[in-house]
Amino acid sequence: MNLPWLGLQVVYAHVAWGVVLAACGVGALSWRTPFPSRLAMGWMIFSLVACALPGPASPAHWLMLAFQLPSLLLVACCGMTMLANARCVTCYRVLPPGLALGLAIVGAVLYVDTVGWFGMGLYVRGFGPEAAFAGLLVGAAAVLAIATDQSRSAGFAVLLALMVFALCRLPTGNVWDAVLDPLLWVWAIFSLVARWKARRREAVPLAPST
Amino acid sequence: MAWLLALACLLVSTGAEWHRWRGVASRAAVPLTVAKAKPRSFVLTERSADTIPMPPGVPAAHASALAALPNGELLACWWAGARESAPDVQIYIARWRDGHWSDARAIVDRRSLGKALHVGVRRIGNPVIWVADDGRVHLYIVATGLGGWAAGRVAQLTSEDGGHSFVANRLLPLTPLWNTSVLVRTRPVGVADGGWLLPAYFELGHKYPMVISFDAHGEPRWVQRIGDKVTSLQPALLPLSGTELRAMMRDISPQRRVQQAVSHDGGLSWQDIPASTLANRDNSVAGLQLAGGGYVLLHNDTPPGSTSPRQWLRLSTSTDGTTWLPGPDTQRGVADDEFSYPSIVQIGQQLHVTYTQQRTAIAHRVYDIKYLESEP
Repeated sequence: MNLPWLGLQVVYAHVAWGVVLAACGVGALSWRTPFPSRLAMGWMIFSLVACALPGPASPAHWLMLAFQLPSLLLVACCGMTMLANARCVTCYRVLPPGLALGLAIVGAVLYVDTVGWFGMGLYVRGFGPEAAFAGLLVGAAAVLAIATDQSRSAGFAVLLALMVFALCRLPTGNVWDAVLDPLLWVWAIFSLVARWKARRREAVPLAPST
Repeated sequence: MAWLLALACLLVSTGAEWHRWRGVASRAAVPLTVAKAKPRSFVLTERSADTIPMPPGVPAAHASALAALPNGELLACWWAGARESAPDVQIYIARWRDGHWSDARAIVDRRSLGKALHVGVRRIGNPVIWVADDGRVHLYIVATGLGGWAAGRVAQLTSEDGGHSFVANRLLPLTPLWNTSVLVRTRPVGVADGGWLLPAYFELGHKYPMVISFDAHGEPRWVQRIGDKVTSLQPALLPLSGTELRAMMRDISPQRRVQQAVSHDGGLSWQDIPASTLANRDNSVAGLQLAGGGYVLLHNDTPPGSTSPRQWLRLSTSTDGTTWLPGPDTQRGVADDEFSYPSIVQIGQQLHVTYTQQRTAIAHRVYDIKYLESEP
């Protein structure tokens, strides 16, 4: 195992939860009005500053109590959605379909294994060199997706997460925790359901006029 | 242009991983520390029985852990407070020296642990203590996030001064579910390179045992699930040879027997084996290989006609770690008594046992070990 230094984890926790909290607020506030509105910008700054506070005064302290550390990919995806929302009028809250599908399937297998249904020990393998190699293969797939202009932002989010993990082992030293956490998994499932519902609405034929 | 940037990110990642892993074996089996003596029969004779002095005004105590220091002193740790999970619960430590216990001293509570780790801690529980070959004392504590014991995380602390003061190192990353639901309870076993294997268990819905390997400096090496069962927890590890290791486990299945698993490669892989003949109704066990050969196991039993699973604490003995014979009763009470969560350690030719007494105190018994045959 190569575990990160506690001090680095603490800094990461405050910054990362700040980004996640900012993205959640921006997503909610820009539901009807286009981003960046003054309110949304104000919320973003407030979230980052509040999470930087030390101890129980910081929302990060309470988020860590329940959720420990967010994955690098969740933080990257939150950043990605905020950037996307800043660039277009339509709000963007769902993950790209390829990324969402991959996360939903892999997350389901990992969590079912963890609660004891399978005996594969997938999580603990995430500390070893084989898992790091597998992560690099995912990174290569992300480069391919970027080169072929498919899900460019998602590809960069994955690459960024893997690069930070490779350099400093954040958030926990386990590659699974770099690319997945239960909140991101729920977001991936929500994204798939939202797209499926949207597609169904589009597929409904118009009633013929009489 | 974007793909060039992406490629650069990938190359940086590849270079960092290559630099990190070159020449490193990921999971190598390390021989276990085992008694060199051949299996011999022995008897245990009770020398003394007392309780560790409780801190004043603290009504509840539970889950003691023991470790022997190189100078022959004995350290006992346990949690105590108003009640289980109460905000005032602290981990206490007491020192046994020249036949007497020191006063209990609080070493960590949820506030100080949370402050040291920069993370919220809701409650603290089971401690496990281990003295490394270099004399450093390693303390593992269950510290929960939001929720009950199923939200448990394992905090690792270290003492450089023989257990007088501790520094919090980290929360061990053990599950992908917000790092919750892994707890510790039973004592580690040593391995030949100075490292140790710490037993642990998962308990969110299903319960299964695990083992965490540490190197001589206390850095975690690997984690492995023990067997495939989902009704066993709190493994007590018994080294049988340099590579063979047996786990004796608390049972929550209808079988009501001490469950077993075996490893033939120093804990890297495990197979479930049939349950032992020893009764177990969801109670923690403690096991130890004696330095002169032979094994002891502390476990609860239920007297005929009783429904109290923790009123009778028994000591069973074995020459080979597989066949068990009844030893002296550690404590046999009446219905609704509780003598539970034992811990065990050997100092010289004496066996020290601590356990929870009625959830209000930690009892301490000392046994003399006498071998019936001389060492070959």
